[in-house]
Amino acid sequence: MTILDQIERYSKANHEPQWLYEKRRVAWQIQKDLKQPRLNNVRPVDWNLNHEQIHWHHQVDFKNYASDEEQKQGIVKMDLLAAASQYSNLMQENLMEKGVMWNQYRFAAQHLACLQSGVFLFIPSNTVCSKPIDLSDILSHGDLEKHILVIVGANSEATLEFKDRATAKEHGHLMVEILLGDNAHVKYYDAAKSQNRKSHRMLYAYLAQNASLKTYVALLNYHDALYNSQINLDGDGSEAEIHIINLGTNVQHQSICTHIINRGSNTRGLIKERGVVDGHARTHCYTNGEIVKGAKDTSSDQISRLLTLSKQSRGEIDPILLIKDNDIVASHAASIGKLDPNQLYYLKSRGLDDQTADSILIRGFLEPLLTHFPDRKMRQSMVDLLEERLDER
Amino acid sequence: MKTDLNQIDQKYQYGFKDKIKPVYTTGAGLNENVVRKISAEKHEPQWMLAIRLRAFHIYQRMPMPNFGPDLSHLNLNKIHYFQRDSDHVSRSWDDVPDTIKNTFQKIGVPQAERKYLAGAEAQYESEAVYTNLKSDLKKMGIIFMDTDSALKKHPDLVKQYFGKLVGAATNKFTALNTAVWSGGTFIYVPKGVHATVPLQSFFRINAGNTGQFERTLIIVDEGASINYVEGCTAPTYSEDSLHAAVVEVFVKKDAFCRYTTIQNWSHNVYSLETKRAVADAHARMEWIDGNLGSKITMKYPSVDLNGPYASGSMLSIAFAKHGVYQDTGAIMRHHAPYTSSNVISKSICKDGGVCNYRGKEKIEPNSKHSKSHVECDTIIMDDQSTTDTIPANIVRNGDSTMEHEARVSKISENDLYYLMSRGLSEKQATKMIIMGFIEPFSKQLPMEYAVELNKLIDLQM
Repeated sequence: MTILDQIERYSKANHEPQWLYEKRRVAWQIQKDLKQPRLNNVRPVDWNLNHEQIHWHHQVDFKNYASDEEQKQGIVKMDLLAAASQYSNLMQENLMEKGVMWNQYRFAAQHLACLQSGVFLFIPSNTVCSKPIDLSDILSHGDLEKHILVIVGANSEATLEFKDRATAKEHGHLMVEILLGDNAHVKYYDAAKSQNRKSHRMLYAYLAQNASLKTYVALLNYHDALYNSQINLDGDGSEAEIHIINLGTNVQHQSICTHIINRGSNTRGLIKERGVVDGHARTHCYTNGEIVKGAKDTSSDQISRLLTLSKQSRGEIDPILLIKDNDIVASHAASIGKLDPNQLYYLKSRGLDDQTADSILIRGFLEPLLTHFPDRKMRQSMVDLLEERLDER
Repeated sequence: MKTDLNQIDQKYQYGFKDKIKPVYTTGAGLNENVVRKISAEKHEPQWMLAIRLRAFHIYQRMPMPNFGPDLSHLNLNKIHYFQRDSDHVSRSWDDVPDTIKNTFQKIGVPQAERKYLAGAEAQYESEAVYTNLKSDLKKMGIIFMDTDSALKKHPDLVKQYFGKLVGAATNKFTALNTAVWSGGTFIYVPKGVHATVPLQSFFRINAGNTGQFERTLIIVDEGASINYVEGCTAPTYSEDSLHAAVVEVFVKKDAFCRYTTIQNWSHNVYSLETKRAVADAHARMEWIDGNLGSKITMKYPSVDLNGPYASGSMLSIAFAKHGVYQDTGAIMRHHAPYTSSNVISKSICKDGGVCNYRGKEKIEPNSKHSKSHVECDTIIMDDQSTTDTIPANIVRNGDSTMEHEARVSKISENDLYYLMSRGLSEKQATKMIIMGFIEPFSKQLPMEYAVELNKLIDLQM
């Protein structure tokens, strides 16, 4: 049975709307002619999944998982494929059409064609969510292609949370798409400590006028990972910040790609990264600030710091600026360095063993970024996660 | 450095073209026969012909660069790969043909410079026509001549070093250069010798469709030092021309080399150069590189830091105005412990010019305790111009440090306002800010070059 047949059977079994089936079919037909994105020196973690091996078992569940209070506000949180039937028009307009184009790259087309499960979160206009909304709790495990679509209406505010605790057996692509209406403000916390052999995560965002998106990401995975985050500042006056802390140990090979595109005027982009590389690990940061022509009075800044802890650890930073206008301020700073031997000596002279002294200095290196994560509870849970990860190092 | 504001409106005196009929030319286009002819015309030894032919076959195989500017308008079949405008290499100033003397006069070699010129080497067209060693340089044992003569007089030295750093297969244009090279500078500084005056070379492209394929080879032996200065101006004409030079610099243990270039090709020249240096233990290599003209420049001078405590530096400016595409940068490769490198790059683009920085700093696993520092600053003067900064910073061991900073902005309105409130016109104020911006570069230049640079910036603004 070909993949096209499988897609058809799965689509029919779940009573998917016609547009989704058609899109899937076309996506699979064109995928082999599309290109993969070209990332300088970045070793892609499995762009090409073996889609022959997909187990098409996912059952569509129509329950709205938002809390009672949230439901009263009109918030919908449900299975992505259920939402495709229930909110057909909204999904047709937005699913892989704004944050990322489904027909732009091969992996995107494959992702849509073989989409198995996901989460749909809708926050209507003029809604302020008092509590953080967890996106990971209803995400099914084990599927190859997963998608989270978040739509936030105008003038709304929300804090989103994603916890990646994938087990060793999980494997596949997870794509998060965040679409913000005018003047919507979202904070997105992403704490990943996944056992996944190969983790490939993507975040694509589209911002309308005066919207803001701030992401706070802790990448504390155990194995190889590719994290890719791309934010389109389409609306005038929109703002994006990406904060990432990262730890790599043993023989981990991690690539962190961040890309902010300033398309509207008065837009502001900021990328801040701090990473620690230990053991034989390698970390590659690929940060990209792009200002298109006509985006006046914009700024794009990047700060990337890597700490190479052991003699065999490797770090690479490619900070890129692509500037097509002049009424702008753009900058990047990058550094790769080792621990200060004096500080280490001082701590050891106070009776601390190597491991503890190292841990204290790693915390000291990551915390200047971590302590600026605004939500106290969320920050604390990330600090705890980091401690756990350091102890298991 | 002070800027003389009275000189702002001076006309550019270097934009001219002399009428010269080449004495010998292989005609347009390239095939194996042309390569053989070039070699035969120069009476080269068999081993050099072998190198040329091998490179020619590599050239045919190699693809064009897959990054940076669009080179599709470069028609390699229309280029004259070799021509000679005087039959022999002149030994004294009197023997130099008058037309060529005129050119030097127009370039503006000052009267006072004439005596230096006795020790300098001037290149005209594809081959040096004037070579004279200043007597004290000769006494010190410094060999300073064009590479063609060096091949005749010091074949062993040339054979030992030629192509050892920049192999023919490095890229398409190094292969082309190796196949058809002609002219260029050869310098050998013996052990422990310090050249007291900067060695200078003037050269220029003149006839349309002239390929200049200089091959420069500099060897600074142990404990020696040298400061080599190379300046170019070119007249303006319409057909496309290619400048694909290769420069190899060997800096031995404890030696020092500074290589200064100001490039101001006219706006139809493709400047696709490969410059590479190697620094042994405790040696220092400095590139000082100004790119003001040409249509498309692709130039990434590199230093291989092969011995402990070696250091390399690159100080560059690029200026791109309408129709100019500057794709420049520096490559530093650390292969030994305790090495350090420093890159400072300043770019200015206006009227739709494109200035890109494309660099690479690589600290290898065996290069413990190494340091690398990179700064790239760009001023983007209007919304027609664009600039990309594409660095790669790779650290392959845990004992080294690497820093990289870059900033892109327009001219600060506050600074402009301040200067204009002191009575300067906007044009003067802008120029003053630009001069201040490139000062770290211009103050490293010899005096006369700094003056020339000032004038060139004037003309570009």
